Amino acid sequence: MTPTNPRDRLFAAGMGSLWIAAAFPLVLLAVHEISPVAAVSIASEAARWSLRLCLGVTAVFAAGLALLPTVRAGVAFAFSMWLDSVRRNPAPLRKAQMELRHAETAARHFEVGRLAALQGDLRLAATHLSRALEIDPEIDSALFLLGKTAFQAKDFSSAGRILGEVVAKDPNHAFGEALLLLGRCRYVLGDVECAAELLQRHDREQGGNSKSKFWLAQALFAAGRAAAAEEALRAAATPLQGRRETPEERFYRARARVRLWRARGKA
Amino acid sequence: MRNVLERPGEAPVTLALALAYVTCAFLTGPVEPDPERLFAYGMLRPLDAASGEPWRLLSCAFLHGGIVHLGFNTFALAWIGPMIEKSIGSARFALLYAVSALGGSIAFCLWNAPWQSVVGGSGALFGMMGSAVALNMRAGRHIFSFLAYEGPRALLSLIAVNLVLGWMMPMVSNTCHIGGLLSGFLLTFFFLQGPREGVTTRGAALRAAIALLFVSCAAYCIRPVARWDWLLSAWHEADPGPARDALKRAYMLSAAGDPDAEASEEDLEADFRELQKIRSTYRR
Repeated sequence: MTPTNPRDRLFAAGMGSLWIAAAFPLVLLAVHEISPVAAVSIASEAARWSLRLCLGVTAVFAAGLALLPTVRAGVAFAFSMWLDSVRRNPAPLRKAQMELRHAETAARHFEVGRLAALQGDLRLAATHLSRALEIDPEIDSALFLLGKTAFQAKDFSSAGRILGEVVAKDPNHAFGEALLLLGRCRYVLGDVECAAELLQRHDREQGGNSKSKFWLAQALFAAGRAAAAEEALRAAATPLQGRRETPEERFYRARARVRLWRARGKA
Repeated sequence: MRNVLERPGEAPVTLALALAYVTCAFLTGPVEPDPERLFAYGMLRPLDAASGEPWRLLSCAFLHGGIVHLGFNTFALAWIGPMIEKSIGSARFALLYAVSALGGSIAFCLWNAPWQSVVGGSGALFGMMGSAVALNMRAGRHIFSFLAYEGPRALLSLIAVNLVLGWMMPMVSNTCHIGGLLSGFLLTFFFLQGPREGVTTRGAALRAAIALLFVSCAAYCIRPVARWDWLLSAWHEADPGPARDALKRAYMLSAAGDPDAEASEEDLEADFRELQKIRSTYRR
């Protein structure tokens, strides 16, 4: 079965390399029986190319860190996400699950779902949020969180459907985050005109940050509106005034800068 | 450490290893060991491991190069050994020690020159530290959850400090440390505990690959077909004929970079005599 997503492809590449490394000494032993000179040649070439590969990867990474803002910002963003994941305290979720066992209510299911989403356990979150909505379909927060969970799980069609319901009831739900995520869902699903319209509305009404402006720029480029897209990219690349940037914002600002360089280079 | 002395039954393998360290130290000379005695009792050199003495890959982990070396390693063993042994059981702990020691020795043989020698249990001790990291990683909800706690972070710092010290000090083989650390970690993480998500094809393939890597590297240490000393010995033992010529060309490629370099039988015999001189350095 061919791996479809990047993580599976990376795992397959890693496994392939591991199997090659594991079999290499035995291959050398076998080749030696046929031709000792060939075995020595293969071993020296392998050592030479391994060293070149290590040096090459290190050089590329160092050059990326030095020259490309996206690499620096990306590493910092990934590190901050990892740090957040290891600092999570599972105790509130366990407590909420215990309370749920005593009495099943929509509010308690919502609380378990909310805490599970914070812990990164998207499946658990979706289960409890769905159950909360079964008991009380009027909990808009649960509907939004369910849509957000589906978005994080990359189930964009479900996320689009659910967030569409949220936005229909209240476009400014969660300070416009529902509108933003819905716009991104539409972009991923290929409805770029609708995506551009939604994201422009979000930008007008909520202001947005480098991430929302970068997504807007992507949607506008896809819709063929290059001038407006560059405008959005410039806004995304502008450093924040008045408060400290989060690692995520810094990453998207870096992406916007690189994207602008490419756009100007083509012009 | 108190466990080892006051309640020896709780960590029998740790106690046995500590006694083995001390016994071997007395057999080889506790304060300043005699190199010939160290060699006789199992000091490792890659060229000896490839010359019909593969047991040295394990025996070197019980010998030490002096009272300070012995003291540090015995202290480290007494500190971390009981903790790991009580966590995974005595039989698995013995296996961990053996595999980590072998891992360190294999790394040494693959990386260092054939005539370089090594003794010491620190490869295996690094393996225990790697095992402690693996146990912490497997115990948490997420494999990096353990970093939220100070104790495991301190363990990582200790490993890092020891690796840096090993790199800075000239008489210390960091290759052994790293080989032992990786071996102990991989053994504990993938083999000594059941899979977190149950048995999967991916997990089984990964375990098989790791096991094969270990075995094939060990096989290569015993039979390093691309290394000049082994090729020279094989050439010397071969009967005249095409096989011997092929071994000669392989040796010239390995040693001089050119399989067709000018070298007579006498030149190779002279090289072999030099190799024998190196081999017999510590032999009585």
